[in-house]
This record gives sequence, C-alpha cells and structure tokens, in this order.
Amino acid sequence: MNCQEVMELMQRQLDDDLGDEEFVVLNDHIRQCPDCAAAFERLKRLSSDLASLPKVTPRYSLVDAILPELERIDLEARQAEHVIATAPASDPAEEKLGESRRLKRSRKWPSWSAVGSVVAAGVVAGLFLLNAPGFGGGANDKADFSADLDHGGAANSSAAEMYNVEGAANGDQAGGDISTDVLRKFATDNPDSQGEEASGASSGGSSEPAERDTRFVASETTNEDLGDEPVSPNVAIEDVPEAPSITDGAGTQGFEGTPAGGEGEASGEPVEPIEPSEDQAGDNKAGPDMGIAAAVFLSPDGLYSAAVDEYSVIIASTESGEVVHQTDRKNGHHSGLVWSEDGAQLTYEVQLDHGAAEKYVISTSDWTEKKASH
Amino acid sequence: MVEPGLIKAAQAGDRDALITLLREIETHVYRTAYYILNNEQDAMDAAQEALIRIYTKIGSYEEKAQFKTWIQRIVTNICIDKFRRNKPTVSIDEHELVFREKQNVEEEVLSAYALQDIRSAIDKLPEHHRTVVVLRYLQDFSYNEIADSLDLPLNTVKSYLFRARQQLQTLLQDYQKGGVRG
Repeated sequence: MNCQEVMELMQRQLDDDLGDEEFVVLNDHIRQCPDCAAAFERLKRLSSDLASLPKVTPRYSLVDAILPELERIDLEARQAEHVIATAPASDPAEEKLGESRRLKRSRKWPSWSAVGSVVAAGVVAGLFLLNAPGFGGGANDKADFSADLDHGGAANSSAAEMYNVEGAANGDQAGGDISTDVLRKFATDNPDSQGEEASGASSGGSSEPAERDTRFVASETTNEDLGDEPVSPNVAIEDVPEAPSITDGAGTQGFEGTPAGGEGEASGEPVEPIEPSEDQAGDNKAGPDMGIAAAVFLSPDGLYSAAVDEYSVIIASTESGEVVHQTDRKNGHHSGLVWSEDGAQLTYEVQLDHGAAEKYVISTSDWTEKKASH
Repeated sequence: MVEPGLIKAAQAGDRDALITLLREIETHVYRTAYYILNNEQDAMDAAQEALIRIYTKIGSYEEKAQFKTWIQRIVTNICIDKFRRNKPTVSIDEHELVFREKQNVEEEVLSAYALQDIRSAIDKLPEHHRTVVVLRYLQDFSYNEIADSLDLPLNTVKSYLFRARQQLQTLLQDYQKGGVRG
C-alpha cells in the first residue's frame, strides 16, 4: 500500500470509518513510514482543532425575531384558505367552528391585492355555480356569510347579496364579495340565470339552471389553463374527506362548486360572461406566494372533479360529492392536472425538491395509478 | 435532538409545538450558517430565513429522512444559494497538495492553530467543501448524514471532506510560517 492510499485510511480514521483490518494496515504503515506518521499526527491535530471550534449561539433569539413574520405568514395562509373553500361543512359543530373562524377572518383583510384575486376567483366560482346542474339546496344558513370586501370602489349592493355566490357554494370557507359591476354585467349577459334564481338558490330553495353549455365550457377552460397554471402547494383543500357526510339536502354538492381559477387566470375566452373577471384578474395579479390557487378540474364527461390537496390529488364524484380517490402522499409540488378526453384518465405532475418532475396517470376505471414516462 | 412527538404535533398544525421546535433548533441552524458564511450578521439573516422556511414547510417533512438532516439541508441551501458571494476561494488540486505536504513534513509545529486562522482557512474553501466540513465538525454528522443533507453521493462527501482537510492544513501551515493571513 502506497502513501497516498494510506492517506485515505488516515482520513477515514479521523471519522471513525475504518474496519479492524484497515486499522491494522494503517498502523503497520505508519510504524514504518515516518512521513506518514507525521502527516497523520498533523491531520489528527487539525481534526481536533476543527472539532473544538466554538459552538457559537445567536446573540438574540432568532425565533422571537421572526415571530411577527410568522404571524404575517399565518394571516396570509388563512386568507388563502378563506378563499379556497371546497366541500361544505358537514356537521353542525364543525359549522359553528367555521363560523367563528370566519368572523375573525373577515375583520382582518389587510391585503388588497389578495382581495382582488378573491374577487376574481369568486366571480368565476359564482358563474360556474349558478349554472352548474345539480346545484340547489345546501345553502341554508351559510348563505349569509360574505366577507366585507369591496372591490374597485364598487359598493356592495343587493345584487351581491342576491348572488352571494361563495356563501352558497362553499359552505364555511370561501369569502369575498363580487364587484357589482361584474355581477350586473353577468346578469345582463345571461338572461337565463336571473338574480331571482340565484337568490332562490342561496336561500336554500332548489333551482335548476342546468345549463350544460356553460358547464362544458367551464371544464374546458380549466383544462386549457392547465399548462402554466401554478397550483400552490400551500393551499390545503380542507375538509374534503368530510364531504361524503353531507346529507342535509345538499347531496349534489360536491367540490365541483369551486373552480377557483387560481391566480386569477381561470377566465377563458369561450365564456362570455366570464369576460369581466378577466379584467379583474389583470388588475390584481396575485403573487405566486399568495397561495390562492386551488383549482378544481372537472372531467370532460362531468363525472368527476379533481383537485390538488397539497401533497396528493383528490378526486370526487361530481354527483354525490363523495371523495372517490385520493392519491398517496408524494413529497413535491403537485400540478398539471389534465383529464383525458374520454375522462378515463387523469394525469398530474409532481415537482420534486431537487428539480425532477414525475408524471402520474390515474385510471378512473379502477383507481390505479401509474408513473408515466415523459 | 428534537422529540418525534413534537415534530408530529407541529406537522398536525399545533402552532405552539412548531414554535417550540423552532426554538430547539435555532442554535443548530445558526451555527451552520455562521461557519459557512463566516459573518455574524449574514448568519443571523440566513438562519432566520431558514427558520421561516421550516415553519412554512414543516408539512412537507417526511419521516423517512432524519429531521436534523432535513433542517441542515434547508439552512445550507439558503447559505449557498442566497448568500453566494463572489469571493475567491483557493483551488483544490490534489497533486499539488500531496507534493506540498511532503515538503512540509519536517516543519511540523505541534501547537494548536489559532482560532482565527482556522476560521479564515475554512472561509477560503470552496462552498461545498466548506459546508461538508461544517456539517462534519459543527453538527457532528456522519458521511451518510452529510450526504443526505446536501443531496450528494457518499463518495463525493468523502472526497470533499478529505480534500478540505488537506487544504485547510496547507493554508494553516502557510499562516503559521509566514504570518500571511487573509
């Protein structure tokens, strides 16, 4: 064994990495080779010097120093959560809880850009809901909750009250009023879905707007936007697993009710009434860290809706609202949900920490999942 | 060593647990940043950024990784990415090292190196070599733990560490002989 090879043994000995045999080899060599013996002494000294470097501590508590920042982060997260409602609350206890949370939240809305995207998302959600088939009932006592938002100088008005989109749609979580201008425009563009109808819906009556066209377009829109639409991993779609337990007459409310468009770009050109929201979106670009991005992707056959729940993808039946499949947790940013044209497969991507991306395909026939090659 | 129960509670949304956890690790986070960046203020900034990131990403921690390596990955990434300074580091050339070492064998001085010399020598190492040394000696990490933290192959970790030690030795001997510091 030459001196250079022994050098590696010396190095590993410093890290307690030698086996017994190697240790013998090292010692034998050192006994015969004064150069290496000296080199080993010096290395050991260096190593012990390094090991005794001062264990420095911060001058003041770093956690105390970042507490205000953490509060701000929590607040933003709550705002995002507020917007991205998914399934309605199920049991009364949870509803109560939701209500008190809501009250707290609606009092602190410091970020106007966040509000902007709320409005944009709300409009899309609202348009969709009002036209989605099977929407009805279920609004009951949640209808009265609307955050005290006011956008672009448009005052809250009875129109907004009537539509009360997010209250009806999202149970205890969504928030945000809709600019009255937008609503008026929507109303005039859509003689079919009148305010009465909407208010009927939100007060618990059953309405049957059932406009298949709009619904179709809505799913097409979300699909179109898939490519570059970031779906924030920060947005947890809470309560989805609870959805199946909804039995209070709102059986048809799955989480299809919240195509919250994400980042304000959910507006698609094919839908006339959505046009106003495009303006909204333009004015209120939410930063990527706003976390307002949970999008729901409806399958082309209308049977299922899929959404990202932080580290997995959840698929629910649009008819019953029941979660029919949830993917195993994967450690990475989930995005790129795309349904195949026949609705038989859902593809999604997971962006891993170290930059690699993995693609998965879920088959709706038996809910198996395969890793797809790129 | 952070209690697994505390980590679980923090992940489950217990904010107090999460804050307690951050308090337990802040010194470790700071220490790494301090020796990689060799500057107190930069270290404070980087450590705070790391703690914030841990706060927001706690949900993405998975038990299959050790918590301490997960933390160190976050702080070392921040130190390397965000505070990468364009300052010259010495080149690591193995042949040169071996050659010089043999020359110096007989000039061995057995007194401990001055702390300031060691710190400034560490600061001269290329970032990855420096980071490996810091995790080995300030966090007492094994090769495997270093590899996990830095997402590097095991052999690369060893190679970085061994070269770093040789380089440090060369630098420190230069300081002792010539008194040329920097």
